[in-house]
Amino acid sequence: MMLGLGSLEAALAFWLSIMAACGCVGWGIWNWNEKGSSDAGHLPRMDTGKAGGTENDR
Amino acid sequence: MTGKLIATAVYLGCCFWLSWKAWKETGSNADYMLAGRQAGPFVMAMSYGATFISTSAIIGFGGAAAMFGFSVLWLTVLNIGVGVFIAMVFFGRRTRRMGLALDSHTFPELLGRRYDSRFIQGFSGSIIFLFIPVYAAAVLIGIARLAEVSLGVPYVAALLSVTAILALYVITGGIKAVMYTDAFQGTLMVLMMLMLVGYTYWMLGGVIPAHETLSDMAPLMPEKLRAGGMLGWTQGTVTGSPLWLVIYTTIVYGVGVGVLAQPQLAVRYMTVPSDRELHRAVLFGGVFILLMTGVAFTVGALSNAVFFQKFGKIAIQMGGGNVDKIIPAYVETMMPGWFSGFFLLAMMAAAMSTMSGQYHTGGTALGHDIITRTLGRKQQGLAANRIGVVITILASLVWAWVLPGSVIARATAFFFGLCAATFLPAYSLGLYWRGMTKTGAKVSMLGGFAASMFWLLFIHEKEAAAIGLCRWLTGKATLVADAVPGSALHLLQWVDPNVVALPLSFLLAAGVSTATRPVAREHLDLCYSRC
Repeated sequence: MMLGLGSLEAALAFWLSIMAACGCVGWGIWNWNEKGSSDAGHLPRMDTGKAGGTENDR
Repeated sequence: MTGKLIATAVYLGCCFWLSWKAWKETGSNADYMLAGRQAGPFVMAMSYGATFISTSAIIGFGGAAAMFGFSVLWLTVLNIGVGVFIAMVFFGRRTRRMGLALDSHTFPELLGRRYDSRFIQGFSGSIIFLFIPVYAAAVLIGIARLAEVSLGVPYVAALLSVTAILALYVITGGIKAVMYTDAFQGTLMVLMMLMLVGYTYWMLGGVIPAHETLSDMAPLMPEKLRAGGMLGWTQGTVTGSPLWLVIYTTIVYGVGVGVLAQPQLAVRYMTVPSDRELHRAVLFGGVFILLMTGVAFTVGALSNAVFFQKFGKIAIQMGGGNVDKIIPAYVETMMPGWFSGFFLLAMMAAAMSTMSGQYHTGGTALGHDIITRTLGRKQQGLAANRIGVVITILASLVWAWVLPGSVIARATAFFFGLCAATFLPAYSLGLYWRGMTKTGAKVSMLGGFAASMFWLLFIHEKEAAAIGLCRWLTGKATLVADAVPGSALHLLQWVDPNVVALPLSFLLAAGVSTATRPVAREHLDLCYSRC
């Protein structure tokens, strides 16, 4: 488990890096088609609405 | 040398072809800033990863790993766990949805519209525009140092030529050019880093023998590092020692958490059409970051063993005392000749992908957030963004010229820390807490920024001593320089600003928000309408 590393501090970081990446792969596969609410076709226009705030707080 | 030049020319040809393709597809300001919100998961993830990871991470922090050893791998754990998973799943989805609901095109605009405040958009844009060139300069220094070592190009010539190449495609192609080239560059980086780690372990006889060789070298740790608390490259540090504080507060915590409030990364969440692309990006991103920082830090630490076997010297000696030269020296002297040419390209890719994102973000902060929105010059539009990009590029070049040696990792940590203290509470609480108020956000941003700058200028030894304002005002390098050596007060000079500034910023955000007028219900309903 220590893989020749001289401390738990280093070995844990080494293993957790790999496990974190594996966790991301698992999450990506598990949620591969999880689209959430689709927003296609609802894109707002560029210059409509409030321009970064409507109140006089500059 | 001829091979390196041909490979560089082919690589640049690919980048320019992708940029030309993007330029043809960029017809509006929304295209220029958010790629029409139609980016795919692979392009988004590679762009996020390649922008996140730069020569700064590989050359700067790889060099830091050559000094501090495997402990730096804790940053990789945070890079993946926080920088990819938490960022995409908890920040990415809400940012995309809120950004769409509020029709936001930049990070400052998202904050400004969430709190219905032009001040917040303008202030955020100003902080980004003023300080992102420092981070861009750190990246530029990394690639210029590598070109200096690998191609023999004079340092200043390397600075100018890389800047000119990047300027051309970021100014013309906007974020589509940035993201297309990022995806290509990210793929190239993956191949090179795989070769780098495989060859390094092969040279040392495999994974366990390599680690054991480095473990056995602990007595060779330089006296200065030992005095600072280092026990060995695989043995870690004495808890609470000055170098323990540097590694865990500045490198691991400062950069690892700071990534959540990086404007050039947050804007990428808003480029995808649905949550699905973000889920898939978690998969690509997790593997990509492991292959980038995980490999760079591992090879950086192991370079001590390889150098010692071949030359009888440890890494910092091979780098001539400059941390930023360790990885370039390792690639040039220890890897096969053909590899150094390809590695140079991969690093050029890493630098260019990050810098293009930085230039684009700095440029839109000035052009869109400050000139067009805060100052109300709407007619400027695309032209204002392009002018903003040009000014950001020039500012980065100036910083790269004046910053001292061994600065890459520190300049990166500085920007990450500053962004976290200034933006993270207002951003994260704004995404999830309806009770977060405009006043709370303003006080948190101003307080976090002020606390971070105060700590940098008056407490944190590296910056305070280098800038000299504290000495000029008080006659001391830092305010705690006179404290009893080894006391808690004395150790504060190695504690990263974010350890103090970020919690303070969160406290201000939460405390002030509970005591001030809430944001109007109709506006909150609009903000969270898609969440």
